[in-house]
Amino acid sequence: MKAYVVPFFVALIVCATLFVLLDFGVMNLMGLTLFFTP
Amino acid sequence: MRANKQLTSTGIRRRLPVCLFLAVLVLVLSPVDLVGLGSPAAFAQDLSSSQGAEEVVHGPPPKLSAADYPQIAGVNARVFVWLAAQLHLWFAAFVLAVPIFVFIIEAIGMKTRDERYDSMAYEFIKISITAYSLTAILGGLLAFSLIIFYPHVFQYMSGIFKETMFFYALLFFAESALLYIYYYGWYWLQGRFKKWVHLTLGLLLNAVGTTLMFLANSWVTFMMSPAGVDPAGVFAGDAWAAMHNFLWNPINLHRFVANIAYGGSIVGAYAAFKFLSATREQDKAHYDWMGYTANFIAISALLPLPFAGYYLAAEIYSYSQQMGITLMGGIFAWLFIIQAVLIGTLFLSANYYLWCGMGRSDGAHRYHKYVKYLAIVIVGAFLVWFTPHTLVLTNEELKALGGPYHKYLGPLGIMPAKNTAVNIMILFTALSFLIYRRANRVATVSWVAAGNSVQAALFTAGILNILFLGIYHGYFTNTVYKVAASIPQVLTTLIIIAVSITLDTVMYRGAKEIAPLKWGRVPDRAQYALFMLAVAFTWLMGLMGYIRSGIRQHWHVTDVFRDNSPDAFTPTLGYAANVVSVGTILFMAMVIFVFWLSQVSTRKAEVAGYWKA
Repeated sequence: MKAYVVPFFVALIVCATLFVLLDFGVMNLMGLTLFFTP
Repeated sequence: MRANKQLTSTGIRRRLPVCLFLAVLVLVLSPVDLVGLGSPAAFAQDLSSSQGAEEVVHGPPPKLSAADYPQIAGVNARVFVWLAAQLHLWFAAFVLAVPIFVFIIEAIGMKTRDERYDSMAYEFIKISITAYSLTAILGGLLAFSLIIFYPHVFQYMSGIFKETMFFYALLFFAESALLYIYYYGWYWLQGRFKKWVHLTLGLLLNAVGTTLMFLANSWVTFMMSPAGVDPAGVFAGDAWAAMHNFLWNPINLHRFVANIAYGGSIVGAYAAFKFLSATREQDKAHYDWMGYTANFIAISALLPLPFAGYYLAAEIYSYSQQMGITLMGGIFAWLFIIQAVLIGTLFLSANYYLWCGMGRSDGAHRYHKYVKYLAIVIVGAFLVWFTPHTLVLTNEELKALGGPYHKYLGPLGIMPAKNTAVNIMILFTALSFLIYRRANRVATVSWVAAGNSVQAALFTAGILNILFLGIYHGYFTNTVYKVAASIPQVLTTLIIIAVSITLDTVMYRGAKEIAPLKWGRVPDRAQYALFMLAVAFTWLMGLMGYIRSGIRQHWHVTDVFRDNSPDAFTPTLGYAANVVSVGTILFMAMVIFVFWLSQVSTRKAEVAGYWKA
């Protein structure tokens, strides 16, 4: 079980961080922020 | 030594005609390409040099009246041209797409030295040969019907696009020559060097075919987003400017990808037809493999297609907001609901075919339990995908509902919900493929558990990101954010697919095969899924093609050349859907005729005593 759980959560944190960076980068390229600023 | 020398000189003698032919072909084709595409101002330069001192003055498009549109034998001109154009386009899409993947399959065969790939590629191209004649016949019918029923429109268009039309005609000769040599020379051009010559011919065939499509696309997109003309429609003389109009490249991209998906679906239907009519086990196995490959091609191209479509729609909005609103917020919006149903059908059919295909493997039972979850998610995404924003309601129904929007389902009718749904649908289709690939193998690397966990984490994080972008930016921000958020959504989907397939490939390198795949061990109902794929694609292309053309409304050329024919109105959706449905039936009948011809060509009747001994 440990063989699955530990890599899953480590990879989840890494992937989630990378996806947030992707969102931030792409929105920034379009002159927007990640979170809406009216 | 002497024997070797003789052998070499014989080899050279054999290769010489092929080399000479190839050299002549390249010389013939290259000036056409250079003039046509090499330089952006090529056409304009050509025009000015050929005219010399004479200046051609172009007039504005004529202001027509109903009397300027010939009536012949009570034929409805619009419907006739509509059907001729649509049938031509279906066949053209098919015959342009088949050589693309035939080229790839032939190259795979050369790389792996597995003759089965070569035989399959040959069978694919064989189907397209008869279809090629039909494409040309229907193209002729379309050209004649345009000249007869819309002479002034044709005159105006050919005045602007005379160079491209001329090159189109020349390229058509090159396309025909290359296709026939590619097909008839298949078994002649075999062997180490000759095979390379054959593959090169395939490449040239695709280059010419794609150029032909791009030229024809420029005429169509000029009618939607004219360029190179002043506001009165007077052509300035720069043919490249008219060709390189605003919507040309979005359509080029969308049609290129869609054609591959469509071609895959049609040859998939052919394989299904042959599978169902085959009586011998080895034939069933062969056509099962062919059907699987065709489905793989169709789905590989279908996955990026919604993104190409979204790009095209965004560019239409960008060119003209009015046109964009007519497209998706006005009269044509309901056709997009039908489109959503058909796209959902495509995804469901393709996935269903894959799940049925798992029966070929003895190890698939390990994954059967996951299929129901895949089905639930794909059906759920499909339901969101085709939920309409508003409904056609009576006054009583409106009162009962408390307005045009449903309290819970209304929010699912807008694009952020649909983008989220389609991304998830694509991801789960990719997951179906991953599971299918794994069904017959057992990974032997030591890090299987970690690899599986990383893949699960990748999908989880990616789907959460897609949901965040869809829900937060879709419902709690403004339109700019809503549209912009679709780009990281698409990128997330593409990254998940690319990374998970790469990881899977590394993980299953040197994997143990459970048992050889049993090709042919697939239920007949899987073949009907392939038929469904072909019919849904055809219908979808017809409907969306009508929308693309229909958003010009009462204009031959948007805002510059008004349509004053008796048919210058947007027909009701039911009427349009019926015309497209009739077209679909006609096309499928012709396709069945093509399939039947390929069957007949292999039969030989033995008639004793007829011929002299």
